[in-house]
Amino acid sequence: MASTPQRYILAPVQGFRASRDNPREMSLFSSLHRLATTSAVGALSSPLGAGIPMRVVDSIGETKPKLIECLPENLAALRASHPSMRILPVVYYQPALAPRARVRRAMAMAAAAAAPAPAPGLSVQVLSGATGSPAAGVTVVAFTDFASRTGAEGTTDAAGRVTLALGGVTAHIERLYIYPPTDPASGDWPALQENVVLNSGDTIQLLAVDLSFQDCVRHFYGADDLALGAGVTVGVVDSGVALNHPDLTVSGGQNTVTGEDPSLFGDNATEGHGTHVAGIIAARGTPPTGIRGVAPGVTLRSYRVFGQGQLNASNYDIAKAVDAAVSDGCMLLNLSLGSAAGSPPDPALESALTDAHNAGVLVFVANGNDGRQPVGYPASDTFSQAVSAMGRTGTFPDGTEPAGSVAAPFGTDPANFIADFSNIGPETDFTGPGVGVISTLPGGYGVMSGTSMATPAEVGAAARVLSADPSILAMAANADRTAAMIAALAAKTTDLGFDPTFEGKGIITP
Amino acid sequence: MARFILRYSGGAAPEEHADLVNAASNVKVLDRSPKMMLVEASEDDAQKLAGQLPGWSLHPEQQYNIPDTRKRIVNDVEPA
Repeated sequence: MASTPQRYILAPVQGFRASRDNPREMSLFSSLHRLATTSAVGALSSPLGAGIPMRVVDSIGETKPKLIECLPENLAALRASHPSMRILPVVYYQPALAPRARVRRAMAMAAAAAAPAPAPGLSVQVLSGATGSPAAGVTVVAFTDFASRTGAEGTTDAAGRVTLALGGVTAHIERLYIYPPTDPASGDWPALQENVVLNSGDTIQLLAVDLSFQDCVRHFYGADDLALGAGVTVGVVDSGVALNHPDLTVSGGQNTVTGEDPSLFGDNATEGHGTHVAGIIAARGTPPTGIRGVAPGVTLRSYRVFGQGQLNASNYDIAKAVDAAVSDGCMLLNLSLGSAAGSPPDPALESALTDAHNAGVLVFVANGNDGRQPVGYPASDTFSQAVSAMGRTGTFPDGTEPAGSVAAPFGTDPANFIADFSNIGPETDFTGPGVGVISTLPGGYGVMSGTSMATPAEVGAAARVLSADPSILAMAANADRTAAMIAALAAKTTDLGFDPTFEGKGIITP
Repeated sequence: MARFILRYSGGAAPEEHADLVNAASNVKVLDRSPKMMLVEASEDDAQKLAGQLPGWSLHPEQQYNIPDTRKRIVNDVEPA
């Protein structure tokens, strides 16, 4: 699908003027200023190859920001070619009119209906495939109509039973999702059954996770060498990492949650998200008794920004974690978190990400999982490496939940697809495997899907590329190192055949 | 009262600036790092304080989530 040129602002890496201490930046802004005097479409030269077509619409001054027009799909190439330049969206403001009142359907229905009688229940039992025992804490979501998201859901009790308010003791279920608990790990795959008749008294058995199974991460990045990624320090900014997991070695970190003990950077007892992310990057186990990450040789650090038992994090705690990770010598940061799709920039985080860029640290951020919605913040920040999620058919067992994420577009290899949940947009820099990923969890192993999983896969791949480049490892920690890292990754990125708004420049291939 | 972030644009923040924040009435310091302070204050008091601190910027605190892929029920099944 052909897109139309959009307007963006190109600004110096810091402040309003290109720095005279930075001849490369000065030269770039001067040449763009000259282009502004013509209305023709020019091509910004790229050290990585072919020029990037664009029109310089306006220039505030020779060393000052430029208004440009270019195709959204060229932004990833522009960022990779000129990393020491901020690419900012043009923001249009609206009059602050009071919003019109609208009737909310659910409230209108509730007001119209007299208090309904309690719905008859449909009771099912879930058994763990890993243990064969009743599985407690399993979330069962039964859609009678998936398009309208109509149905019922509940969580299994200690006997593995849940009662669903489906209006009877038998029901046709269009999609039945079953999510096993992740903290502690159940060792089961999440399940998906389509077009089934569910009867009260039915028993559903989950499929145990086989740690030798080749999931999408192992398909693209499977490796035996425990030294892969050596020399690179990676910070996981997340819900903490289980410090006692046998496959993980956490060299240090900090809990930056306000009011909590800074030394408690282990798992925060919610969903094991940070432990799963860390395992994708750096797990050092050996199948079939353990799991191996993409770059098991990295030095892994944990920065906990989600409070104990909490599922949200403050921008202050995140910015503090980024500052701490930079100061601790991390080269790569993983942020598998974000705000709702298309959220505006957050100046507090923006400042921390700019400081990280200038300190030679590359920050990878998950695009978000709102289903083809715009890239969330901070993934959309000009200095973030934004990652979408892709999957591959054949890398998850039949009857498991990842099957529900298969959707067009498909890649040059038709087995590859961009996950239905992945946010997309011109800010995307890379795509990574993030559908049905096996990794570490507190107390064991489990499967998760998301741009949260695709991001650490690309962080691990980036660590492998950088680890093999002694000249970059030897560089001083400054913006030149960041630029060198971006250039090195761009040279090791493979186009999978998706539109750049879906995959950026593609998948990192160490 | 709300929570605000004060962030210093240089390296480590000057100690005398931190002293000024600590001494400000109607402003409670909740946390401090080399470059930032998390404060609780009214917006007016926070902006007034930030205006007295060269090199500092003021931002509202906001929350971020872990992106989730789980499917959820939006509409309940109506009773038969």
